[in-house]
Amino acid sequence: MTRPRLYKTEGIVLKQFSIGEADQIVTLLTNNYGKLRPIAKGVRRVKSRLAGHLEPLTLCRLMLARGRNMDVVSDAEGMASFPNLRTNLESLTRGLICTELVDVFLPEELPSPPIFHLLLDCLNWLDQGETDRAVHYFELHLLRHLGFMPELYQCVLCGTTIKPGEHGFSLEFGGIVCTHCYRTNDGSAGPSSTPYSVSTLSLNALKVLRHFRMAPFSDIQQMQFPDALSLELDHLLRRYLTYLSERRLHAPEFLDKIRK
Amino acid sequence: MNFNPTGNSSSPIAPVARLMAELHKLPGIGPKNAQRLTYHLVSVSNEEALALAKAIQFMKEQTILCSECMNITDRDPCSICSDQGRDKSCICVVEEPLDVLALEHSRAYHGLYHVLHGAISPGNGIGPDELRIRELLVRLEVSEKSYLIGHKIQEIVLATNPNLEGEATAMYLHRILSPWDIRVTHLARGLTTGGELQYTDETTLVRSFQGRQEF
Repeated sequence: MTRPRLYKTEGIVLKQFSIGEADQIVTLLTNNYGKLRPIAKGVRRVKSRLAGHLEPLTLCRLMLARGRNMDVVSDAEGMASFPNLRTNLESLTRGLICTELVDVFLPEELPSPPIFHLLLDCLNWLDQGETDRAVHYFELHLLRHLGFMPELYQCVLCGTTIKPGEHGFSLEFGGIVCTHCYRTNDGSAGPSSTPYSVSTLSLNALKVLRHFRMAPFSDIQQMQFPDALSLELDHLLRRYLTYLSERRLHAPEFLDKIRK
Repeated sequence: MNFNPTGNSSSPIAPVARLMAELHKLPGIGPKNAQRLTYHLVSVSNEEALALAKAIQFMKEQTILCSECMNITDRDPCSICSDQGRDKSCICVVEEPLDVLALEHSRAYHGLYHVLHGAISPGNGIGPDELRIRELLVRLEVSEKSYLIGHKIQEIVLATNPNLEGEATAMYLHRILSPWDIRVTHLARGLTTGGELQYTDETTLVRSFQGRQEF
């Protein structure tokens, strides 16, 4: 989408990177221009008017100017700073998990309004006191918007409809592996003959994932999850996201560290 | 070495190219700047150019981290840690050595420091292990066993930057310091001198109200 010389947008600040003496490159997810990385000049000076408004995990209204190499933040005003999210190290880290995932998976300048609204919703949920299930819901729907929604109804190897039981989950094939294929998993099936890793997926976890996929978050908020189930979802989604992104995800690692 | 920012077919000679490559590694020095600085050094006297080389060498050889506070110094312990006139019951935790300079310049503080050399930034992969946090805990352990009055640490002031990473670092430190019988405080937040209310962000305004005081 070509942007005019001076343009307005709303954006959520994902991260900042300092360059030069007083400048920063701000990574933003905007509502209509996708992920942008304009330069914010002079924000590291004491008298900067913009600095506080461009903190990570802030929703702001911005005016940006086209530049030769990069766009410049001409003006910014914070609209929401999610204060409760910031007062607690775990909820702050959960917010940073979401922004890290968006930054890792989205290429620049690809308009993605559904992802913008998903991120905004999730930050609001975290600000209201939601914890891990908000992050898991966010992760599944982020995968869906990116086109990586895991297959949850048919076996990715043999195509049969999944029946209740203990199944597997294949990272490489992106979905559920039926009990039969899971038990006979010897690496010989599949289009290429390279072995693939399949981990266990409990029936409850499968049900939760299907429910997450179909239901609005307000329904999920009524549910209670036992710790073991929450942990299983966490591991599964983390492994799948790590596999797809082909890199380490730092914010989830930090969350593990502070929870110990 | 094929360092050739102008794209000409004739590359600079090896010694010049090598210096250009080294200068290019420095933050904020692009290929053109590196070229300009290199050719400047080619044109000045041997004496002048070597003075720069020797200053770099001297700095690297002579600067070490103070084993107490992790600040950059030329002798161990540093001048602040060795100063008997300082309040040894208080440690002010900062992110970088330049923060110590700023605080010392203000003359507002007379205790000891601890330099973390960074801040926790989960999104950038900087966790507690990448900072000098363990060394702070060691100092507290040593102080616990100290019999010298006035040498036991009674307060830790968290003076990390008032941005996301600094706040995350302060929250983390507050958490790991809670088992210790030590008062943990953080610097006040508020309006910037010379700033204007209408341009100030939400978070700062909220904190300014919370910290309001009688005249």
